[in-house]
Amino acid sequence: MSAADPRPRADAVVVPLRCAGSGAPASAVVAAVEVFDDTPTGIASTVLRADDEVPLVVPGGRRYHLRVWAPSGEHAWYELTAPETGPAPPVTLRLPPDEEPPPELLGPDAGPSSADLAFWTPASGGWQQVAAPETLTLPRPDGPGGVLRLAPAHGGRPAQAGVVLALRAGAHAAVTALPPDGDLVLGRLRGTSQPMAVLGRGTARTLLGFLDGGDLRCARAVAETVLDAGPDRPADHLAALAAGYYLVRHGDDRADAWVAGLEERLPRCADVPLLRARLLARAPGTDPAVLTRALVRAAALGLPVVAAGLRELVLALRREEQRGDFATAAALRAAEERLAAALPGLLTSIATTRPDRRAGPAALAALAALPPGGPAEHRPGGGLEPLGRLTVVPVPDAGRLRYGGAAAVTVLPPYRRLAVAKASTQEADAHDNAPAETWASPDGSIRCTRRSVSGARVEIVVESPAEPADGDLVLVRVGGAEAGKPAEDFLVLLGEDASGLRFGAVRIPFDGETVTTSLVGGLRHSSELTGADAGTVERSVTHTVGPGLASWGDLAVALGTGHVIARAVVRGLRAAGS
Amino acid sequence: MTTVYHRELAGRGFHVLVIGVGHYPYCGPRARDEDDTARETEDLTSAPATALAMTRWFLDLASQGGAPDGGEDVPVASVELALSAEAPAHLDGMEIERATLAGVTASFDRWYARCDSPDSIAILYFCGHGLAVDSMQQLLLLEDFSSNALRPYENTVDFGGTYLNMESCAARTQLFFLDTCRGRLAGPGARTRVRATTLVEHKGTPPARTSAPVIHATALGAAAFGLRGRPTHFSAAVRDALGGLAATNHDDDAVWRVYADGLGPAVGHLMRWHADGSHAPAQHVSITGDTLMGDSNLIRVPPVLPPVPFRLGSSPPEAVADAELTLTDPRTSLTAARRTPEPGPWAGQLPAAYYDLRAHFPDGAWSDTTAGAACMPPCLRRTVPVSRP
Repeated sequence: MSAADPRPRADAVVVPLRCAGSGAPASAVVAAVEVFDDTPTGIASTVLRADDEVPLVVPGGRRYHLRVWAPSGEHAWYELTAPETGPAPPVTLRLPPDEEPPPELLGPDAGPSSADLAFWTPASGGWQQVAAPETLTLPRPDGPGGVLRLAPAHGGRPAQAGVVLALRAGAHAAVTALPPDGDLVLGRLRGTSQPMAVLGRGTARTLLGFLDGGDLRCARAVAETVLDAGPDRPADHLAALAAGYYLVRHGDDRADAWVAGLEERLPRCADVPLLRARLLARAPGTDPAVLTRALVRAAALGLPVVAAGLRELVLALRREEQRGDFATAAALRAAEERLAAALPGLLTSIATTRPDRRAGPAALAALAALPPGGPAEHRPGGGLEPLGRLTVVPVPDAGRLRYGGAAAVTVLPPYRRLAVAKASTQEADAHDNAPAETWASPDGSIRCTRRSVSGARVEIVVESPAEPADGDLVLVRVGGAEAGKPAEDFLVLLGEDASGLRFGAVRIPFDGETVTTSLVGGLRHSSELTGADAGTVERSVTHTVGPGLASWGDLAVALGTGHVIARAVVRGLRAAGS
Repeated sequence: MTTVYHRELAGRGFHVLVIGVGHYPYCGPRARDEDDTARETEDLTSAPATALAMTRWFLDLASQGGAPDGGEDVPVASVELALSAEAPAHLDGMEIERATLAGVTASFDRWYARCDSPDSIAILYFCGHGLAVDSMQQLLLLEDFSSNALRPYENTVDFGGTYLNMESCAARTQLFFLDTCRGRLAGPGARTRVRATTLVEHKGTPPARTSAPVIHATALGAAAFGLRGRPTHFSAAVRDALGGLAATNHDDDAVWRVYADGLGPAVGHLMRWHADGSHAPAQHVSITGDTLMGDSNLIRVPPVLPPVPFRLGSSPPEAVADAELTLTDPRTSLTAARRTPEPGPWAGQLPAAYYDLRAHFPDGAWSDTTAGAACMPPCLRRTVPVSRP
């Protein structure tokens, strides 16, 4: 199937193709279309978008046959006759029958049901819960408020990939990698008590469905629409990720640049280093150590969002093992255990109660007894009894259910800075000998050291043993009620010093006796910063010391001079210099 | 030796290894009491029939010639067969090597040596019992499975490991067809507990292959079904797909070509077409492995596109029994096929084209109706809605 439209001709006419009743968000790509002439020869390919028109350009005055492919592998044929000239009336096409919205989504039997939901995120060497578990009575998917909007509480952007949803209903449970955005449908695998969270309809599901079914030609038609939108398109990060899988599987020349874009957009998403590793594995002369590092990083970032990614990870790690690289052995064992407990679907789902727990023998036995039929969400003969929906949104504008909420603010023990006053006359000595207090997060992912330094300042040094990436930062809230001052936020950007140590540091004036410090959330990424953070960025840069200062500069250069954050960095650097 | 065909070729060529295991002398009623898996493993009459059908099909293809490259079809270069039935199997007077671990290893080694060049298209077809550890790890049970109480899985093929290590084979295109069950091997640590045999070790070199789809006859966790004493539906679908029904003609020259990435979806559709006409339980073909796109992915340029199978029914299904059905070529207005009223859907084959279907109900119980019928590869399955007058 050629993704390009036929060459423009003098007799070309435009026939708008519409798709109705797909149940997908407006403009989402829901199907691929092959266009044949009467001979019969395939002359073009295009896509169908939900409740939107797609122009098909064909020579006028002829009859055409359209084969509409749904990601389930089902297809339907349509016939159209293009007018000789002039605008053609729109042609409305429907998806093949198996791709119609399941009746359960709309029928009266989809009554409320309850489930326990919890959210976890990878931490150094393990996982940490980022919000208290909630028992929810899920609303009917078709009723008012039927979609639970799921948002990172601090308004972060898709770097939040890496968060997993732990879903429990009765004796069965599943842990599912949350996509960076998009709809999830919660339900039980038909005929069982196994809860599932599956991907809702949309471009990403269409593309991943074609890839999962091995239909690369239809996948190409869909992927090209994502690629046309460009790597910087802010929305539909999951579709961008799916396009990355397509490009890598396809062996496309654009794969390297696209994956580089994903590395910027989704720095904490396990799929991305996995895609990078796949490219490295194919490139001649790749340093095996570089490849291993990419795989280990993928494993450390938690679950790949895309189910195929977990298979890729296991395959790549087995390859490394075959080559005699045992550095990845632990990662391989863990990934294999997850794969053995994997539930069907396009998103990675594991039959376990928590991401840090193995699936037990009972869960594995139940898994072996699951009805077969392939991925539940799009395979004929699969099937999900829906309970509700979640929408992962990048900003908490309508959040009824959030992860990383208030519980993510960690108040450190107060730091008393009495020693500075005593040592203020011997500044150099005081700097060297001031009492320092180090606090480590329970999971060990963040270590924070505070100590008094000259000029009535407190130095806060943040480190992370969790192999932080370029652009990682931590939000520190400083303030003391007894001082009568409002708390101020500082973004501590981690950088690498000449010796290879990666840490960030700020020095903050404070004349009280007790410093109250809180960490807001865990490691974040600079790509999450928005215009609303500009003031905090400027203040933070002004007070940054150490390698983080150069990192702020690098960030400003990368963002470009017109970027609101870059301008804030420049202002902060000027203030620091003065 | 069960190299049933071999032709020295300098360029592109198919190198085929067919393994069919229908006899398990250490399983079923002959199994040891403590081995549940072996006790549940019974002989398969369809596996030898399937392996022979696949082999004969490739031999037929070989007899049709074909020339390497030059826009013509890719020739068959070699066919290797290992087969276990209760009685020794013969093909054209030649006794066939049994599909024990020793026999399969010997066949595999010969096959590997022949297909270890970039222009080769390596094809492995397995029919017999199988078990899945996970979506990647598949065990292929050979004749002497469970012959050793201490190492019951020694005489099974670790397909996941073999597939991975086939990266070291120089053949750019590698096709794997697994006509076997994928029921999950239960219990924790199954992969490490089970010591199956990997047929080739990894050389540690970057993969040279560009396309290596694994086309499974069924979904993970599901059974694959055979027909007693006859080739499986899956194998029929594979033959049809390779024979040309996986072809597309989207290129500028409108020539029908079969690409590796088109095989899996086509096999899935053809499998359903074959199964529709029988009472076999549903199977969902599933595809894993790597498939890149591009010219290196080209499998065949069939000299003639085979006729396209069609099956036409009605909604409601009983109406078709009252219908006089006609397929007409709209370009010539000639009738291409006709069926008088009879029960059941109308199944047949026609050259690839668009036809006009007319359903006429002589008894007037239903309203006459017309519809388009795109008889295009891989197959046409269509249900035409009809209503009462």
